[in-house]
Amino acid sequence: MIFNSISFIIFLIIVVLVYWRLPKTARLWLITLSSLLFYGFWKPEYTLLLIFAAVLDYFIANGIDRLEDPVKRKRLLIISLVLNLGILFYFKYLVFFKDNFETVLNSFGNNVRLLPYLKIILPIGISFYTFETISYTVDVYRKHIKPEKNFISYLSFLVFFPHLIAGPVLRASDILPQFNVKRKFEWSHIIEGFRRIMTGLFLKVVLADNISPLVDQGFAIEADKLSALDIWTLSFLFGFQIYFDFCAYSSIAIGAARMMGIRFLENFNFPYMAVSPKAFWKRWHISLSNWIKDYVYLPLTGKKVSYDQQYSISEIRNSSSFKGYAALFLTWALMGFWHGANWTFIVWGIYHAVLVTIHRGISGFTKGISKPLLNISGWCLSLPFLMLGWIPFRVTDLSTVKAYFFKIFYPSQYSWLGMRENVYVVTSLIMLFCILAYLVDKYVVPSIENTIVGQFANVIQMTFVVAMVIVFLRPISQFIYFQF
Amino acid sequence: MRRIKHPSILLNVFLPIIVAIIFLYTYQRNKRNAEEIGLGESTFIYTPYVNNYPIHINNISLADSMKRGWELNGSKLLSLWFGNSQVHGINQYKDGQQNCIQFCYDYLQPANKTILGISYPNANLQEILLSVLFFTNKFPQAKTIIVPVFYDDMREDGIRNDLKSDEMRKFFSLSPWKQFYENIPSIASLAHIDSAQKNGDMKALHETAQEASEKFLDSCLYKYWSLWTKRSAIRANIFNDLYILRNTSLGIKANTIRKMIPGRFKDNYNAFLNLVAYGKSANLHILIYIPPLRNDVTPPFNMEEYEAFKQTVEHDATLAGAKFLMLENLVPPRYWGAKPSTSMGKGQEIDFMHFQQEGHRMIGDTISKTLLNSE
Repeated sequence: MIFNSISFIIFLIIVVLVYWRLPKTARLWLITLSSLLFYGFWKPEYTLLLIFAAVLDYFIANGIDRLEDPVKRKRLLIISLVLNLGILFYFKYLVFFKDNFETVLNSFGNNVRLLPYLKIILPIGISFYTFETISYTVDVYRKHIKPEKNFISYLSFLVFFPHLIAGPVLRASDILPQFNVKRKFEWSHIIEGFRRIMTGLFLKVVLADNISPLVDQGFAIEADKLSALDIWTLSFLFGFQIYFDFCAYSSIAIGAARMMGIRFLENFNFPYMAVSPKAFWKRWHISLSNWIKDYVYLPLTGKKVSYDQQYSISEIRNSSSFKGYAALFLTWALMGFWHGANWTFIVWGIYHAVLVTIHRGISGFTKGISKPLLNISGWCLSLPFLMLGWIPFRVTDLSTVKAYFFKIFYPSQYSWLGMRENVYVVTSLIMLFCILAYLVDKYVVPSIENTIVGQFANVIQMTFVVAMVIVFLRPISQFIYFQF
Repeated sequence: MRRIKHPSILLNVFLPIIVAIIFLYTYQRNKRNAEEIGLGESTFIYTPYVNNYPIHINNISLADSMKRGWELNGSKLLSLWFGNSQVHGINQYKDGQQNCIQFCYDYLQPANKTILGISYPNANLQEILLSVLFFTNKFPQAKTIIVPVFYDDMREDGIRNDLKSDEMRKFFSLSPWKQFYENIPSIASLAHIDSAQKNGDMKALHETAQEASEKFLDSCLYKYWSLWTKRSAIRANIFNDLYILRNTSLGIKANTIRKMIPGRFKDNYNAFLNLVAYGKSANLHILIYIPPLRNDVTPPFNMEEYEAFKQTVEHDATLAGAKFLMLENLVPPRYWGAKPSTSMGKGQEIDFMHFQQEGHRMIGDTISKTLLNSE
């Protein structure tokens, strides 16, 4: 079921109403059954895959916990990883490897067509729930958490519908304790949830869905008919579209969970206000960045993982060594590959690794510069390059990436425009809107929060948001992150 | 400032919903239909019918009905006239007036000839090429096609949803005329668009179990909530209000010069070249004309580019064996009109595209005389 639909709104109202009338155990059953129904609204047969993932890691995690022998514990962990990643590989990456293998074979003059009838439908959310179930088993293996004894509790964590399709990537240690206490109903849950859901729907159906045609039309133009200014504009515009789209999903997920008294961690924090590439990844898809750091980057650096550390994936100080840089680039390539089975996503990942490395190099020379100046110059320098990074993310082949990137280095490509004037106007206005929203959130909201003025402003804002959602709510497009 | 300890559900949830609904009812009450917004209040969309069958359409779903009417009328020697809103829009319209297609239709009747019109607002030449290919195959008896080449429509791009119907996509996947649109990406891609990609309010749910529940709920809301039925008109009005706001804040007026967009120009001009080449290979008479333009004020074009454009069109049309008419100065200034300002305020702006009935009579007369003389 997709969030930007009337079906979801009706579904959520029914689930929330029933949820608060049930005892604790029955609530877990309700969450489980309603979540499977939610997932089954897409393709019912794929719920079995989801249940299999839950059963597998429930038993393996409990098995690991019962064993003392490190070798046997590791063996069980490896079984979990192989099965989970194997399923992910089959559904998401098999066709990619098949195609590349074919290309290599055919480059030697063969005419090979491997598995010509292979057609695989990617189960939505598989990348997200696979990561969640892997992190659970790894945490049990690392003795960071005790395994859940109640299967329904574990199943309800994994399939909990708000985060099931596109995150945030949750940790069992954050959610299971919340499931295992009986929460009392408070109106504040509903108010907060309503605000988050409406804000999310506004971002999706009013902003992202209306930017989408401009982005699609822009990227449909052949590269030779676009100027360098168009490339920059399109990268910004797609950057806004994907931000509004994904932030919307996270906001609705957080709001829906909140209505049931469950608190998710924030997934976005004004990412385009980041003053460096490193800071960007502390503000963008925060749950995935942390996951990658804890389960990929730190193990690759050879550092022992400690759960009270607050490292981010680009922050390890010993990483000036070859091993550190290798870990950084490999992590980012994997991060890109997680997003999609295409070389363009790998390029996107490596591009960010390069940005982080350059930032590290530059930051050594910035001592003595005042912080406000550093922040402003950091923002001005980082934002265009962060936005430019969306080009390989959006286009579908490397030759187009190359054509787009080359354009921006030719001065002659800055003298004309290849799109309608509206595209540039809209892009500029959204940038201004983002800056304004950030400044209001940082400087105005804290001073008026929970005051009469704040309340009044809130009613005005929500009235506008609700009115726009009523007018624009249509399931015309899925959330971009569904495809990952 | 006094702090509020417990936010109220009434104030935070119910009040915004109620006020939002009241606001939307009030907003839509004074607004126009989506169809009327594009042309402005002063111009009326007129598509004539004869014996209850259309002789001029701006929606492809009426193509079969138009064909039926032509057959019932004796399948006379046929010309097809394509174009944009200049063909179907009558400025300062009064009841009983008619447009150029109907004038031309009436003039041709005694000669046992007839004409049918197909026009879309802001139609670009890619869409015109697509329509020409489609309609000349739907009406294989058509002998002549008439196509105006509008300079400002060279800025337009893409194919409207109406022209992406299943019938159209099927035609373009099988069409033997591929060579005439292979180099036009927007048309070439039509054959590869599946139903899920077609525009529609529920395209994200295509072939999912949710599609049925969503359609049911949507139909219930349509049935029982009047505001729900007006949502598309409200959306159109919101975009129109934003357009007016943009024009006001950036000082954009009807006569503000619009720059040509190189990529779009190239695709549209390729479509034009393919169109005349197709006409030649299909043994069709082609009549290309530069449409009337108000000549007492400077148009919103770069005049140097516009002059070069006209010469190129004439050269390429003639080279391909098409008949070329320069109708730029055909309609005198008094037959043109104004439209409500597209900026805030109550003023009027010059309408460079649509003229009054007399203008339609003049162009209908010119085209019909050309058709009568050419065969």
